[in-house]
Amino acid sequence: METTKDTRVVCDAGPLIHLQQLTAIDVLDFAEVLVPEAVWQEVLRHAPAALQAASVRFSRAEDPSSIDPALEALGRGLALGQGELAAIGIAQRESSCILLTDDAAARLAAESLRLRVHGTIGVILRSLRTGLRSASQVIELLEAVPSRSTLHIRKNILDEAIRQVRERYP
Amino acid sequence: MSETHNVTIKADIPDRLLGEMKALVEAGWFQDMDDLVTSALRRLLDTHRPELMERFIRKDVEWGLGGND
Repeated sequence: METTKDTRVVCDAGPLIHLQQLTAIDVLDFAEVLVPEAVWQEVLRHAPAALQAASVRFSRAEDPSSIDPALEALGRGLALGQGELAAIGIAQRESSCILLTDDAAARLAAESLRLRVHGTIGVILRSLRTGLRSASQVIELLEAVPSRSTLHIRKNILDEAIRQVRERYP
Repeated sequence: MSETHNVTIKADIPDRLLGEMKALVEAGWFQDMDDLVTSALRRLLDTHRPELMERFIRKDVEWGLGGND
């Protein structure tokens, strides 16, 4: 059975940038964090320190040489960027990987292709489950999302996530 | 049916992004810049419907707090 220690992820730029903005990049404590080349370059431009976190097991992954026709069609329809297409393409190839993205269109496309996909909020909450952060630290991070990051989430949705943390980890 | 009026909006965008937009228009993907911007905004609004965003976050909460990987 897969445990938290075995989990591999392929990351789009959003979660790397947002977690770096929140100084919480270490919550990416997965067995491997695959970063497509196109995403690597994007993060280098916006949040280079994110890729220097020693505690994160980054693997720079070559962008897929060809894109699945279904993904290509979705990519065109949803106007996906090169990094998003590469991340989804790698998630298709590495079937055990979870895709991490905060882009709604990329998430829609990944779901259409039956991939497992989550975002920054999920990874922050996971750090509570894995014991990397306490409930109060996770709540502090969630509360900081609107002011310290460029991740756009409605306040009532964030409040609901915070309420769930308080309820499940009293 | 209600009548549709066009309005003009002004925005500051990075020159690099503008270059990419022009390239798409020149390649024939869009009739002109107005067509491209309207199409991009429509797609953004389609994929950022509040109920969709809420569903994504709920899935994250379930996985984050209750998953096993």
